[in-house]
Amino acid sequence: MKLGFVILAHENLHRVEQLVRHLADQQCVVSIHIDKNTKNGDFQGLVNGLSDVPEVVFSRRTACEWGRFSIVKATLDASEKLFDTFPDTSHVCLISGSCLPVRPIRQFHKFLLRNKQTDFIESVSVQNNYWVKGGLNEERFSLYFPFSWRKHRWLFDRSVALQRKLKIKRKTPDRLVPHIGSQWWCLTKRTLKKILNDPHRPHYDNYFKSSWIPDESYFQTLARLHSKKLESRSLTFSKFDFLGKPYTFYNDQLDLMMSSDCFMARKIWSGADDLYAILLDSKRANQPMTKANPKRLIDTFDAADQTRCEGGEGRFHPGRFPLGQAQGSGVSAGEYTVFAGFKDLYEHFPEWLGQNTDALPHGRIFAPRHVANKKSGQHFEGNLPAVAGIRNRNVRSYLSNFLWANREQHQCFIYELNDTKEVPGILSHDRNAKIIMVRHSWLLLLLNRKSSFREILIAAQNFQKIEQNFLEEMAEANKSSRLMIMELDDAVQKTSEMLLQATEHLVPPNRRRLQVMPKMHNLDKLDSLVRKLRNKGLKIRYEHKQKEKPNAASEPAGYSKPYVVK
Amino acid sequence: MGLWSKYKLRVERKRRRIRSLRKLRELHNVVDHSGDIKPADILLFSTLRNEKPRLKYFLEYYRKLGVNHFFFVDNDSDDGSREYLASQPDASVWTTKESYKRSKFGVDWLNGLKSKYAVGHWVLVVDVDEIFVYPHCDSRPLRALTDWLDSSSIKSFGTMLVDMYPKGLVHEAQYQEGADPVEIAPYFDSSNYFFEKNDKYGNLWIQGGPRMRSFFRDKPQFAPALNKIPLVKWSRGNVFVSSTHNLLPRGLNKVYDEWGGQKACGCLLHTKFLDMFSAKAKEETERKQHYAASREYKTYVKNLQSELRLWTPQSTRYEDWKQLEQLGLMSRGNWA
Repeated sequence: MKLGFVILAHENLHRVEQLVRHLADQQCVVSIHIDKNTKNGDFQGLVNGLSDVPEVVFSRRTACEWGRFSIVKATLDASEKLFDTFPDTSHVCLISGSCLPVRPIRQFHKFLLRNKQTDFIESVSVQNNYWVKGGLNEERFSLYFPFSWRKHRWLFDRSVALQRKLKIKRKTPDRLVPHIGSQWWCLTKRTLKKILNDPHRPHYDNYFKSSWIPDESYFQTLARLHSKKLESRSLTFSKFDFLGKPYTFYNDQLDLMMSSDCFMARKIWSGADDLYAILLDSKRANQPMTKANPKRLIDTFDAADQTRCEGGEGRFHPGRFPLGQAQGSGVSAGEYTVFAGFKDLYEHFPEWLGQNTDALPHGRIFAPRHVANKKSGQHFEGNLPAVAGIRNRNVRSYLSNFLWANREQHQCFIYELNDTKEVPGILSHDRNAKIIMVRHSWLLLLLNRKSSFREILIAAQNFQKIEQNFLEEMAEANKSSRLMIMELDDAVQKTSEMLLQATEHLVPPNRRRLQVMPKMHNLDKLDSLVRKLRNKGLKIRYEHKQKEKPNAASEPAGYSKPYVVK
Repeated sequence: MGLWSKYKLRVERKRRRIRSLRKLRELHNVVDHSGDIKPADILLFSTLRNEKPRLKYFLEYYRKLGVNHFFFVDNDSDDGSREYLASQPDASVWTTKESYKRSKFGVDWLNGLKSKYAVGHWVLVVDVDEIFVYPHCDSRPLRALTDWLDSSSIKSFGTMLVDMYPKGLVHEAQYQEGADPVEIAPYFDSSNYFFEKNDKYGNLWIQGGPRMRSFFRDKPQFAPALNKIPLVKWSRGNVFVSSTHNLLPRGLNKVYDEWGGQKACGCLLHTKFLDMFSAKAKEETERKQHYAASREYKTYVKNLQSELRLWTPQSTRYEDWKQLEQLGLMSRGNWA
């Protein structure tokens, strides 16, 4: 048995030299293709550097362009050159110049000895798979690709769109069933020779010349035609990020690499001296497959994609500032509840929340002249200053900073209609915000004002406008039912029922226990205020209580007596 | 963005570039080792005045990260800074007595030098009191980052300036030449930063930190900007506009994701608040050479009275980049 490597490289040729020396040292033969776009001087340097290694041959150089047939041609040429020079080659493994062996080559040898007739090539039918991450799948084969994606992106996209419109469908050669998979494979001499010497090869080559990214489909399709025993997996680990760039390994990831179940890995950062030293050490011990944990590797890179695409929720930093539609993922890292209009309804409401729910209650953090109950000049966690001027200058950031410190907990705060006016707009866009609002709660703000009725009337009209605006801003939240509106009369007359409903999501069902209702402020003057305002033409939704029945049996809880919930 | 605005920015960029080339005439070369620069070298640019005690650590830190060559513009130092830098084998030094303010606070001088020496290179533009921290900086050199940025077709890398301060009084935090300034001023604000977008240049505008809460409480709009883009693959025609807060062409300012995800980014640990600070603030107020009529320094001096303490019980002690990432001040993005 003789293992041969076909290496495609275009940069960091000093690393290629290191890799090739190691492979030759391990009784392998190597055919190298260096991209024609690489400087001649660099190429000559590599040729000279390897002149003392007889197990190496260089194939004719083609200028390679990503996504085009030139890469397939380079591979075909290098494979032919390998067989021409070293006819006793029994297996051929295609790797790139930035690959390294995860397991010792002798272990690779032994593995192939056990699987003499098997072709290892990831090869998945295009019709029923989602191998391709974004981008074209079946259309890679059915459309024409006359324009370069790298150089003429606009023309490339227009041409695809036009062909879709014209319903262009290229014919697939008779015996071929398009398959797709990782570019890196390990084939037996028999299969690879059959591919190279297929009498229909010019015809197939022409077909793939018009295909998109044929290096992921040429051998993958033709191996299906010729292979006797095909195992659809690659022996070279390679994973692309969400933009289609291969993930790179660094010195600090040696341990992670070792969790792979492959023999080779791509791609290695050229500066990773430690990885080159350790993985190219010929005295290296075998890495038992039983210790492999390929899922760890995949999870790590999937997590990286996720971090990039949707990570950092609830935080702004120099790499993250959601705008437009994405604002919903902006301000907060977890759910929180805003109680609007509760300040003048119940006494010590935040404290009550703290005692009776799992939530972390804050006070009125957007009050006109102060932030919650802190003195100006004091700080919240993370050194966020309790300064109304700083808060009002950038409400969105302030709220985000504020909520971040206790993001693991469900937080609550109080909001009143005369608080900072930018808040509702921000809440309505934040999918984590739940808003519980008492309609007409502003009536309570007016209740004990010692001003003339005329002034109260003007204030009432003003508040009604603000409330209207608030509700309009909240339309977004309402659609996703994050807004709950409580009528004032219900809040006053059916306190326990309403509060239970409002805090239901803050207490896990198994922990609903004896509850003490918060004490209600003195609202004696409310009925008469509502009447007076109505008589002046204000439309107010408020049903007066039918009869005065203080602590009657129909209100089993009483406002301050404990009662059993559910 | 309309064609007209684009055109105006283009004109602005060219104007700034020509201005920076003209301003090169104000610089006098002290020592020039730029001939040693190899094609892929990473270059660092900095302008300074009387910062001698900081230089030893600064050079060591950035050499260790993998900076290959340093470019310094010395603005008339008289404490030996210039001579010290001139004796370094990997530094090229220019000096000038001209106005820092009229060179747009050093931006013109450095833009000029970059046009001349940095085209095609990754450049790091930092002040001598700024420590660049990026994802994996404890295990991967700067070259790993620039290679990754190159392979991802990213041309600029965003950071936030994080003001560091000591636990006690600032003027009592004694700095010894060669010491790690972060060890002497290891505290920072972890959740006190405010973000907006600058619509003209497209960059983020970040404010906050201890300076905002201590000196600009009543005028937060004037608090210093903390957004910085210190690492850029330099092309002919690039210009920094205001410090390293933003640059042109505009696309280079788009270092952040606006679709709800996050791009890889870092922090600049700003170690300004050490014992040298009060003397410096006083001197700079008298020189009137700083941004917005030296408002920042004036406010410092007015509030200082030598009893400056920025630390509060809510301050966080710095550990490493992973801590900053956990606190949501930076991210590795998809650089796994």
